[in-house]
Amino acid sequence: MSPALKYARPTPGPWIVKALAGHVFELSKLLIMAPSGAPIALVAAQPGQMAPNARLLASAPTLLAFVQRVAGKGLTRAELRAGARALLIQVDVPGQAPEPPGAPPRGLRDQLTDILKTRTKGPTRTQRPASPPDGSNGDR
Amino acid sequence: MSHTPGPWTARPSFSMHWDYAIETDDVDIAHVLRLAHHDEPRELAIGRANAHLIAAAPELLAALKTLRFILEALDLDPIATDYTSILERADLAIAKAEGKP
Repeated sequence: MSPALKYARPTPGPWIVKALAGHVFELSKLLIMAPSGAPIALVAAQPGQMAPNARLLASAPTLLAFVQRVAGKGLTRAELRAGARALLIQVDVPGQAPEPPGAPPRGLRDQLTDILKTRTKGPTRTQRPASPPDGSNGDR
Repeated sequence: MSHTPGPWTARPSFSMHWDYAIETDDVDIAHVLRLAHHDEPRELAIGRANAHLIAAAPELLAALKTLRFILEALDLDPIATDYTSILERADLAIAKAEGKP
């Protein structure tokens, strides 16, 4: 594999959290999208943690860009402080709502429907007990 | 409630619709969707880069929080700042985000 492919850049941000509506999306209601509307990831349903995980996922490109600039020492102290504060608000504040629920972009609904149909056929991983009752190591 | 604690890992998946599952030891976090033209090496590489970036998000956030803490301390005692440590953590997070060893 060429270095250009091995170290390809991720989809440019800022990424967007899109809340999906409709019963076919009951396994995952939050989609991470690129600014172009291209789907990037489906956030797994985890009680109480799905929305915070989605915010963190969507912030990943911005976090990386900021940390890269810090590593490159390309920011003044004031810029560092302001940037860090803004990013922490974006990631941590529950009021940072996703886009209003609605239909996904054209063509995406079919793709997601297929995904979730496939998903329901296989085992669904959820929160598991720390150890199975029989004392074995479980399935992993 | 906060996000699922890290570390998160990007595990290659053999699903028809996604190439990577983002997960902890116990919990699914997300599934990185296969891009439209996934047969092209470049699209596969971008999907892998997205997966690595997402898996690094908790470390990136932790590095940022440390940075902010120290920046606040700078105003009180600039001499006590370990800027090298911040940069080392930033470098580690960036390397993970970019899928480098």
